[in-house]
Amino acid sequence: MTADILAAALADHRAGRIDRAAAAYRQVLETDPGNADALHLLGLTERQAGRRDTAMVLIHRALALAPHLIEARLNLANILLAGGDGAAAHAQWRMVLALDPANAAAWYALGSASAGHGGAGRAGAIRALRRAGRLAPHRADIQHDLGLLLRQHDRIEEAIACQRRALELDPTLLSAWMGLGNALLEKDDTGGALIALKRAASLSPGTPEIWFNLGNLRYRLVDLEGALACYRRAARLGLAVARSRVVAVLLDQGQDAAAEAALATYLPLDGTDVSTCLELLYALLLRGDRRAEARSLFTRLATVPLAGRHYAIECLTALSALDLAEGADPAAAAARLEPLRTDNCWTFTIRSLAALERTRRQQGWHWQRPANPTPDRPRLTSSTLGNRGRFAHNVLEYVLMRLYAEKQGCVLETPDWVGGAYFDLDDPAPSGPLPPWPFARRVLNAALTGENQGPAVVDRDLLSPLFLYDYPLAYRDRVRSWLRPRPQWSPWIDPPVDTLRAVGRTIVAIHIRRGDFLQYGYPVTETSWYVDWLRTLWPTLDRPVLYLASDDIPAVRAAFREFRPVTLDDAAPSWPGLEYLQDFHVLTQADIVGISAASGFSQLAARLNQRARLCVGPDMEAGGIRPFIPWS
Amino acid sequence: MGYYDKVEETWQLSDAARDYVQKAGRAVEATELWEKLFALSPLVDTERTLRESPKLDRIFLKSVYGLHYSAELKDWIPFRHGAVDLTDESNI
Repeated sequence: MTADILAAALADHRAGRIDRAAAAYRQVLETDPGNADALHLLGLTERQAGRRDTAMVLIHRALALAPHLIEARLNLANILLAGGDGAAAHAQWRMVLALDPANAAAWYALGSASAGHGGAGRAGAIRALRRAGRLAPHRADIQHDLGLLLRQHDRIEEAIACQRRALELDPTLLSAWMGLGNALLEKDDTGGALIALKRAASLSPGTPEIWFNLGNLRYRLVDLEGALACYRRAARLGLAVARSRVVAVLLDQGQDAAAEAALATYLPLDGTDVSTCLELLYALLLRGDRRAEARSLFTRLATVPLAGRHYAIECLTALSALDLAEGADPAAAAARLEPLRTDNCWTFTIRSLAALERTRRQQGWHWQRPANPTPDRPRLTSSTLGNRGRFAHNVLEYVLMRLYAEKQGCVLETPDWVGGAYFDLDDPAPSGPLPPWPFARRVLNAALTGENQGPAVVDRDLLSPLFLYDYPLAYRDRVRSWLRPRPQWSPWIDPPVDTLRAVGRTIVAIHIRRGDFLQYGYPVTETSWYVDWLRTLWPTLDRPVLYLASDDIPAVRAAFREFRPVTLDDAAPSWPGLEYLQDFHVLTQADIVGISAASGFSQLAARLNQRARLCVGPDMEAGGIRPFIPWS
Repeated sequence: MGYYDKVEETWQLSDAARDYVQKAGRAVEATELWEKLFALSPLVDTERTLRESPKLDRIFLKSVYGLHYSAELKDWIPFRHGAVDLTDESNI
């Protein structure tokens, strides 16, 4: 009887007659209150009615009665995930897999939800999706999702293979055509990318993301008119992120009036990338030599909501950038930005440049960036070097670009950027705009390794080119010769090292990155791993002294208390606004260097360190610390 | 070691079987996999496997898990052959 009612109710449920199904489940529970199936299914109807909490109570009750109810666990995990409780959802998927290790749905869910934005958990997510794909080889969506993760993991060929497999299984899967197009574009197979993205557009001409991706492709081909048309179409179709691309392309085309009009249209709209638009507005006004107007405008905009919120940080950054451009007092420019807590890369650059310029003026030495001495030679530049990424990110981009520029016989022109001011570099300032070159990482690397024997691409503006894939020993001495701090900074960067040498013979410098790593899902280095490693190492060292570098010293210091860690505050007066450079310098001078997972900052320091006898870093898979060789 | 860790080691044995077959580049009989891989694994319950799966298409591990050959997927897929207790989440 109960079984008959449940079967009929389930049929109603599947047919979308939710209220009728719920009534029948309740009827079952009146006579059989411990019926786990009815509790689970009633919970689902509650969820469908938007009553999440009641749904969870009912499903939990069902699982207490029948812990092996796999469907109930999967549904509970979905509810938990939708409610933002990823950890609890993970626990449910793991329980499902403990019951049924070949449950494709659980592996798929675990894989889809495990990769953080910054790459934490990505290897595990890939493993889970591979298993899901083996268990459900007919599922195109699994191959597609796996392809996306593999692309993020720099496994481009495998990523392309996955998207192709997804399309063999379902040739109408739009996202796989896009995934394939984007992966081929990253590989610089622009012809293949165009075919894939056109296929996507012909399947769904009203999908804005396709036009955005086609815009990126046209932009890569330096077809600015075509890129503009695509980005405009994406923006018209409601994709807010396309708006700043429209403005950027108009600026590339020299259509400043049209760019300004587009900014006026877009800036008030919800969803607009206001931060980027304000940077573009600054560039537009500076290029038009409209500095007084810029000062007045950004002063006003700092107090006005744009697209629903205030963007004071970007506006204050623009004002400090104006100060620097006009040669005004850098102390005021630095002071304006020093109290701000932000991840904005442009703010980081301007704040650091202002602080360095303040020091230079206090020291009374002159620094003039050179003009391009050989304007007839081919050029390369990167207009993003000062506003996409922070210190180490930009330095690592510089290394890739300079190696490529030298190989191709180009002059590398750089905008004002922190590495250019901190290190003893004398690259010329940009002598004029160059056509854009986005998505260049793979091509630059392939040219350096000799894998790509094609004609050299020169006279381009490399947009966020990113980094070398490998750091071969052959580059080591050349890179180290470029990246030496200017001797004038010695009064600020040497004292912490001198203090450490005065109190110990072996400097062990460990960097623990926190800050936005937690927020954006980057791999987090556990302090306990370093503590365990130090307990073994410490007794073997000659008068060791531990230096701790972190963007969150209060959070990590206590864990190391048994080693009496020294921080910058203990070691020397801080270099206002540039404390991270003092930490960086200690890391480049230590005898033993411990880096943070996925941190370009400490990886770079380890690569520049000429005295370290040991470099170590976290092994995220094994959960411990292991040695690594910075140049292989 | 929790249940999920045991699931993980079962899958790793499955991965090893798949890699063996891929490297061989030919169809590999269950008996060959048994001799070259499964029987050598400390995870495998040899006695039970030989007793309950004479064709060697079901490999019982000492844990509650095992591998069976799926003719449909042409792959060695984990399964569970014992009870699990989910009342204590620290076991997972």
